[in-house]
Amino acid sequence: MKNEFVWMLGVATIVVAGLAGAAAPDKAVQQAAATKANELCSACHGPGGNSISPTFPRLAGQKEQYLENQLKAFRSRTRAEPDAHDFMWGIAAPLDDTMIAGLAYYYSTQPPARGIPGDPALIARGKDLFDKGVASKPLPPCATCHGKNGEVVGEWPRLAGQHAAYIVKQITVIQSLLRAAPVMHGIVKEMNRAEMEAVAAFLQSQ
Amino acid sequence: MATHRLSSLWLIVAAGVLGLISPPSAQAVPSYARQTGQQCIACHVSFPELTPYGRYFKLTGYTIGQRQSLPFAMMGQASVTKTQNNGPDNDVTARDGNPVFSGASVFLAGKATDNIGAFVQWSYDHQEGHSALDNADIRIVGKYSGAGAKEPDLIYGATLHNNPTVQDVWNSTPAFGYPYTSSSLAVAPSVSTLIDGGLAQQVAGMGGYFFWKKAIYGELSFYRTADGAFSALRAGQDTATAGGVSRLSGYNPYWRLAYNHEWGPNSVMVGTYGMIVKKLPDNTIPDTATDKFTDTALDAQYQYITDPHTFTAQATYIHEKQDWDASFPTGGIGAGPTPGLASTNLNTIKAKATYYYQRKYGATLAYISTTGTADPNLYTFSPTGSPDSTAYVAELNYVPVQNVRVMLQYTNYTKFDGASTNYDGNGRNAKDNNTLFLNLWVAF
Repeated sequence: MKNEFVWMLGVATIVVAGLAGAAAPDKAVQQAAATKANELCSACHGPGGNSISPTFPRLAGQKEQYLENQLKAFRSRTRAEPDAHDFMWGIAAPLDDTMIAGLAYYYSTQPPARGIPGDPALIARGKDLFDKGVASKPLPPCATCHGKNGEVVGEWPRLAGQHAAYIVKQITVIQSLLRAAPVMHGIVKEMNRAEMEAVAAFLQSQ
Repeated sequence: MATHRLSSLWLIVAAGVLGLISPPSAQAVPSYARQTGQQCIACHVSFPELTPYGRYFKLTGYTIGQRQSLPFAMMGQASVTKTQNNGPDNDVTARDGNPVFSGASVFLAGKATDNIGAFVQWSYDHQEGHSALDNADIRIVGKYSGAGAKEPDLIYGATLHNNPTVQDVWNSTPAFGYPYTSSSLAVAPSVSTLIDGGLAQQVAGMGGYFFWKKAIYGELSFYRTADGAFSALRAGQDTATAGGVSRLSGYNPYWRLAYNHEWGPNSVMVGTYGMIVKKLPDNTIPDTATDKFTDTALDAQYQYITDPHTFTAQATYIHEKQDWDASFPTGGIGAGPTPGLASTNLNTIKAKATYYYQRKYGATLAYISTTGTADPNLYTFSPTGSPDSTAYVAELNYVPVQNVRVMLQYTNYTKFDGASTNYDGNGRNAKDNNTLFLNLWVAF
């Protein structure tokens, strides 16, 4: 009961913080960010952040604060899994805070593409895991933070519609501490491959 | 002002390399990686094969990232070549079975402005003992996005380069096609089509291209002799000896049309390319009549790129019609060819498939074949007069870090210069040229 209270309090705090989010950047910043997204980011992340290749995450509709945090983490090299190092450090290095805020706003306001369907049985198993967690493991219901069907709650990332391969890779690198995410590491540290793939298939389908 | 000074410096350095003055010492990191801050695998499956993002980088003129004041990189190779039968005097392949420093390259590669960028390679061939300009491609590019577009609708540009297809972004075309690296010491088949390396580093190519909605690529370029103002594009080549370089008549057209489609981790391209070339039979004798070469090619590429599995395949078919309009009626001009027929054909097929695990452990299988009209007067090296050669290639790669590649390559010839057995009239068989090639490639 105490644990549930702590979870709910945490989520409520984050939701309030999220609702009180920063004002939209001014028009010039929005325009500069849209141009940057068009001419550079779209090469991998697709038009409006709806990427085609699962190597690159879908960014459309992602939480603004989360995007800003991640771009700053790439820039400061505190997010350091291999793909971050290989692809994003260099891209983020020249971005100033204003451009980062503009890009975060741009992608957070883009309409996400529809989910990608998959194996119904795998998706059903993934939904069950996502909604209920695994009682025998330190794996609480994912929906508590990531929202119903992986849609946005608070500052945690939107997962709905994300590429399954990308989700599995992120859980893997968080589990192996290649990507520093202390809270998530504690949650996924005992997640096995089959559980990852099921949850990822469910989220990708949303 | 600082920007202006940097721009000037870049141009001076570019002029220095193209103008044959000694380039400054290289920096310690491949220049594109330094410019973008990204690692090799962002653009390459394995050098030089490009990923979709690598193609975008090239199509946009090597301009992504931050301009470097000294955009240099270096590449070095060391190898061992072992030929199955190195002949009675052990001299078919020089230094057979011994480690050699194969050669090295300096790259001037990077953006000059947001719209201008270059790839210029200067290579030293240890076997030949001299250096020369290798591949070069300088671009001016632009992008167009319609109202509300969230990615460029159109990428367009102009290119100045020195090797037909070096400007192409798919690795099914010859210049950056397979084999990506092969032994410079081993003997190789004598005949290939003109577009398949026959004009490399000898001509000036200039043209325009577009890439529409990541779907349709079109290009029209023209090639001329790289003399006069264009002579820097063949710097270091042998222009004085007959057969040293090609001399073309006027501006010779090259076309390229390709359809590209990407879905999930997959990308596919099907296309056509080709050129019509009027070539003087002897490059040391100007103003003669010309022979005409019409190369028409089909090509395709498929890539599946994920972590940890990457699979790629390329194939091309090249048909060359050779009209000996100058050499046949005259019986040959200077040291040029002496065909016994007015017209002959060549057909080349290349196909390869590659698998990489974790972009670290790779295996490739390839088939390479050139066949054509037999003409003992034209192909004087062959008792049968046939130009036919067929090879199967198997290759293993190990990429311990992204700028180092260890390669073991085996080439198996079933036909060489016209025959499987006794192809030279002295009892040498095609399989005697089978080659095992161990190569260490380092870029920094």
